[in-house]
Amino acid sequence: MPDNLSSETSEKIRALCRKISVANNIDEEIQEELYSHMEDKFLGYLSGEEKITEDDAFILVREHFGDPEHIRFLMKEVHKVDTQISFFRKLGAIYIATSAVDLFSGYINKLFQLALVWMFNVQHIRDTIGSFYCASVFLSAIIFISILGFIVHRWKMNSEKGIRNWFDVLNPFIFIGLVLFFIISPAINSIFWSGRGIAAPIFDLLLKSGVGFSKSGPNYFVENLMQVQAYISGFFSEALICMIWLWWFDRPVKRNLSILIGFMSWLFFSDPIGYFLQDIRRIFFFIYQHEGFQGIATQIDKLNIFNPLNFIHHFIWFSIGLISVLFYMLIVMIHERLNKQPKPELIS
Amino acid sequence: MYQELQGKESTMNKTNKELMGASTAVLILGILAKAPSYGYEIVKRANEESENLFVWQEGTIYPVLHKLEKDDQVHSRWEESESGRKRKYYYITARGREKLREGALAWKGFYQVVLKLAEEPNA
Repeated sequence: MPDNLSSETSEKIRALCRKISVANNIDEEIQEELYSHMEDKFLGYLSGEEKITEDDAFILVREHFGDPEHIRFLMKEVHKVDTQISFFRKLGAIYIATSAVDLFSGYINKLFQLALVWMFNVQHIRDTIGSFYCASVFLSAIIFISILGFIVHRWKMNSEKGIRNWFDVLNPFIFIGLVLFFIISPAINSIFWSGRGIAAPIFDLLLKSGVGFSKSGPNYFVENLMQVQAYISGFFSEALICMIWLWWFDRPVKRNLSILIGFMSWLFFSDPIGYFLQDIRRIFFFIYQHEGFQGIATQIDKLNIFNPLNFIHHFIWFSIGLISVLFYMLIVMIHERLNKQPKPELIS
Repeated sequence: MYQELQGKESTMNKTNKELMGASTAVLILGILAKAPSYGYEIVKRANEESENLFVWQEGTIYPVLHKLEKDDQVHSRWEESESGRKRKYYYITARGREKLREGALAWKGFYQVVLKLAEEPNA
């Protein structure tokens, strides 16, 4: 009869236990207790009369032990106070990450636009304004989703391995400070703020004069194709952001109804407000520039001469950050209701 | 006929589960009243004693144990088991014994009522 588990099996069991993460301050003891249970069970199988392999024994242990997600839910029911704290940490962390990636992809968007202006003459850009605008939006959307998805994936992997993420160990005051910074920074430091990188192109493009569907003109087929691509990618990118947040909050992204509610709420709640604020920005632009109220073409002229004021024109978007947080909290609550966990079953 | 039998079987399973769900804490306290023990051993003893009437989903015993501990019905400490490994032993407290008495009485009363009412006339 073997006295100890092989290190490989031991690690497999520990990984299983780590899935039952409840709260940082009590996880270690809970997981040690669960590990010791599975260790006993495992060795019990191996010492039995019937010969089974280690892989078989692992499957049996796992099956008898029950679904880790279900047990985690039961544990959270018992240790309610502890998990509430981690919810706000999680919320703050994803807000910081979203804002930072948003900022970054916004800069990429602007740099890409500048590069295009550099490469082509202004008249050419004017002729293909749809492609110009949509391509940059599409690029920043891909960057935004990829980086945010990667970050959340990494955080989750760290949690599963028992490695604490930075937001777990960060001083609460610094943490709150960081959240506040990302909420108010666009308002106080507009020069360094490039606006929402992804900037949901749906309403934005539909309502903007000069960027609608064209029936004639040079490259009109490609122009329209790019427009359609931008609308579709806008829808998808919004839905993907919702999913990344829900994934982070461990809400099952299984129910079509939940996804639909999340997506529609975002669409009708966040974007129109963003568009309304964008209009205020235009008024500012008009007052200070006297010539900037003519649509995108004018702004391209400005980009062409590297006017730093081009970086200011999104500075009202800061409120979107706050709206996003409120919105996603709402989505999490809706998901809690829609995906109500089943009553615990203690026997098979 | 087969479907009817299947239906009866599933009703019985459901009843067993519901009854068991309500009595898990009492069963755990009963086992701990005989001797302090740790999770794996508690499950093993419960399964043996039940003679296959039920089989516990083993992991789900821990939330119940932790709840009992929070409610001061049991307390725990890490000790070396017979195998030489560290295990978290649970001890029943005076409050736990009191709850066990109450639970056992309630079950006894319930059992007698069920027997009385379920008994077929002229049987």
